[in-house]
Amino acid sequence: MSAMAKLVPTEDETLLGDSARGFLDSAAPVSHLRGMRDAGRSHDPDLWAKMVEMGWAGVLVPEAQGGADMGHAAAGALAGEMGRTLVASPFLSAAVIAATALRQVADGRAGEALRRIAEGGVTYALAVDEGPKFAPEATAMQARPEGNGFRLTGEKRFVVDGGFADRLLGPAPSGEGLTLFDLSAERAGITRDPRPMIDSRDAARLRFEDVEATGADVLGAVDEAVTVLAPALRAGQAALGDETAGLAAGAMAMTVGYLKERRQFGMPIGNFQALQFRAAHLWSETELTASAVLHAGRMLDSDPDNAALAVSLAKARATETAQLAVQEGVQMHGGIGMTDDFDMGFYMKRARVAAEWLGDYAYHAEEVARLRGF
Amino acid sequence: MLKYAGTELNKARHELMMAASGSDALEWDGPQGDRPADWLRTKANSIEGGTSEIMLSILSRRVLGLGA
Repeated sequence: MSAMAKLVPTEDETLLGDSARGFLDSAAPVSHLRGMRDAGRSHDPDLWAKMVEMGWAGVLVPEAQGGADMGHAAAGALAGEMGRTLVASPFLSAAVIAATALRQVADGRAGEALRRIAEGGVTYALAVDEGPKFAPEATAMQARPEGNGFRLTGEKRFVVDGGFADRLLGPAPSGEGLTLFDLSAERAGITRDPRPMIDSRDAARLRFEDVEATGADVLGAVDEAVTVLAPALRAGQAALGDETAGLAAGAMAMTVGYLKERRQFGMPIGNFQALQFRAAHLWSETELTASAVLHAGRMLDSDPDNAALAVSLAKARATETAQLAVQEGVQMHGGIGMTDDFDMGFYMKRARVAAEWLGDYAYHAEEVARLRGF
Repeated sequence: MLKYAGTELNKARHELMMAASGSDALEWDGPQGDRPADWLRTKANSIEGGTSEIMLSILSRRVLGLGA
């Protein structure tokens, strides 16, 4: 196994993760999300501006366009730290998904868009879902050819960050296949309906009514959205796996702390073997998941054409581990775990939304089975 | 036994309904109405009125005669 393929973080990734944790612990602990929710806000542009300043928006942008080009494992290290304290930001939508899509397209316009992402001048949202479950191939939105361009009509839902993003990235059937469009969210005919989500983050329903799109709005080639979209989805799924793994680790840390502190029958409840076994089992799951998500990042960096299996494995596993972590978290905290004054509920709600976004456990388990030839 | 089995079943039932409803159940007052609030409420079922751990403890001592 080459050094690159080892399932431990490199020195650079460790440094990046440590500095991210230091920053997020003070700038965006869970209380920050709570404050945003209580104020009725789902996006904090000032926090994102600080992340941009630290170079996070350009983590996947080539150096020629002002990025750091550190790769997917590094992007995953950042996403993992964001998961730990439930940080809400357009990092996944803009810096991971949109940046990866734009990198598949070697033209001047895509290069300029990458530069804008890295400098924080533009945010993106991926508009792919049309039904309640993730199914990117089942796109019913119409792209009707007209003159040199198209007219788009249809609806997209569960568009994460779609309530505030500057630009929208979305596929529509255009005849022989899907075409990927990259549009200003302010384009005439687009209406955005931000929804109150259980994780207190931004997601919107979008309606397209006879929206004019020209050839300049097409990302990649007409009818060939998949060439650009598939790598972008994989990058997003991997980073979301990282975020979810970080969420599980954050919830577990809270729970283990409580087991040491809460006393019953004259001793800390962590002295009871029944709880020790469950805590140790949860820790084992988080360790395996940490390796799975790091492996997905490594595959995207070293062999992206063959990364689908590692990515689906990571997303599926992280989803399961996070569910275990938040369920055990609530149960082991007892009654106070249920209260809103306690942060565990925030972890549980974010875990549920992250489980659905970009494919749930069943979707990715099916991908793993298919890729393994079952 | 019924307290243990019933509350755990109810939690699993709501997890399944959330998964089946997909993103529709991720909105407060969305197309699935109270589903997300009901789902969160079930998490207390295995805590309130005696936790699942207390129920299992009673079963192992009283029924199985372990550590009695």
